[in-house]
Amino acid sequence: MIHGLQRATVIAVVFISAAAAGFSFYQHQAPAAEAAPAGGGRHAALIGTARPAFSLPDLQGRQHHISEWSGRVIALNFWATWCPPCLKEIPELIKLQTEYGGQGLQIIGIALQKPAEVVAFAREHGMNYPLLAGEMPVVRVAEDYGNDIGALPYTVVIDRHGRIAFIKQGPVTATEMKRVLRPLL
Amino acid sequence: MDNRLHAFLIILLAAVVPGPSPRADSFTEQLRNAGVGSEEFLPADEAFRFSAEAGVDRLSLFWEIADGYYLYHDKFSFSIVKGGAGIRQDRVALPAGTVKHDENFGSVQINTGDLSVDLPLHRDTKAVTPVVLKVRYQGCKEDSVCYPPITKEIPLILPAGQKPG
Repeated sequence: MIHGLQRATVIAVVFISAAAAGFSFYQHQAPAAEAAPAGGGRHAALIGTARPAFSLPDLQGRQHHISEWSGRVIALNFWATWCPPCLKEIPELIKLQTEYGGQGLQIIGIALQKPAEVVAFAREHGMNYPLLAGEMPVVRVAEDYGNDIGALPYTVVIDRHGRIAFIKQGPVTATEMKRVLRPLL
Repeated sequence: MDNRLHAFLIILLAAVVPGPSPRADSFTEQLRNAGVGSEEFLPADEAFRFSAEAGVDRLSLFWEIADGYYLYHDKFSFSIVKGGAGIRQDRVALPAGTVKHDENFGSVQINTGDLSVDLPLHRDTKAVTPVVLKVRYQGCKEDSVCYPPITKEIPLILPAGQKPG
């Protein structure tokens, strides 16, 4: 009887140990989709939350609501033509849209300036993704997405379910964006 | 024998039951701090600490520009938007600063470090005069981020003095 109890105990402990070891291994190996850069406490708090809704005008003045792109992986890139580090990353964003657009990526450029100030630049650089623009309305949207200090560039990636998956203040690189986007596409 | 078996089982459990995950800690740390490849940036008013003083015939403006940050030399503008005085714009001299090459904008002049600018005034009266100074400036952190133009309206009191003309 005692011998049987010991055997049962050994089996139980070995089973629990194996399960625990497996869980530990999983914890250390599984990719964390949300292991995205976050620039501070507010950014951290936004990761995994629902995207704030907004409408902004495009360069022709037509209003667009973020829900137009629901179901796609959205990368909001806040930028301005007066912002050198913003301009530096635009060729990479154009390439990313070309490469991953077919898999569901939708980059949206949101310029912090009057729409008319963006038209020539967008045409000249062949920007191949939707561009929205404005002054105070864009400031408010940027704040809703965690950009408390207003500095640009500022990039937010939203997954197909409308949850914020990545936030970065400062320039993004193609390598960094691919690392973030691929698991979401 | 039983004791040794129990000891073995306890050691086995202690060895394999996961403690706090280093990865989880690292992830928490990423969220709490800047995250992978990210960086903390100063709010504009900390990156470019601004103050102003009023004298009899001039306003003295000061910026403490944080290390690694700069203001564009050609983006400053100053005006008196309220009160019986005006800025002698032709006598405003900004320190030259340094030249920076930008691949999009070519050579641009920037100011770094501590910056002082005097704004000579013409006054309508030698009596104590409240005025409102409007100042606008814009800057960036080197190779990182840029800030939208910063506009401030600063109420100041010009002390009584000789009417400079």
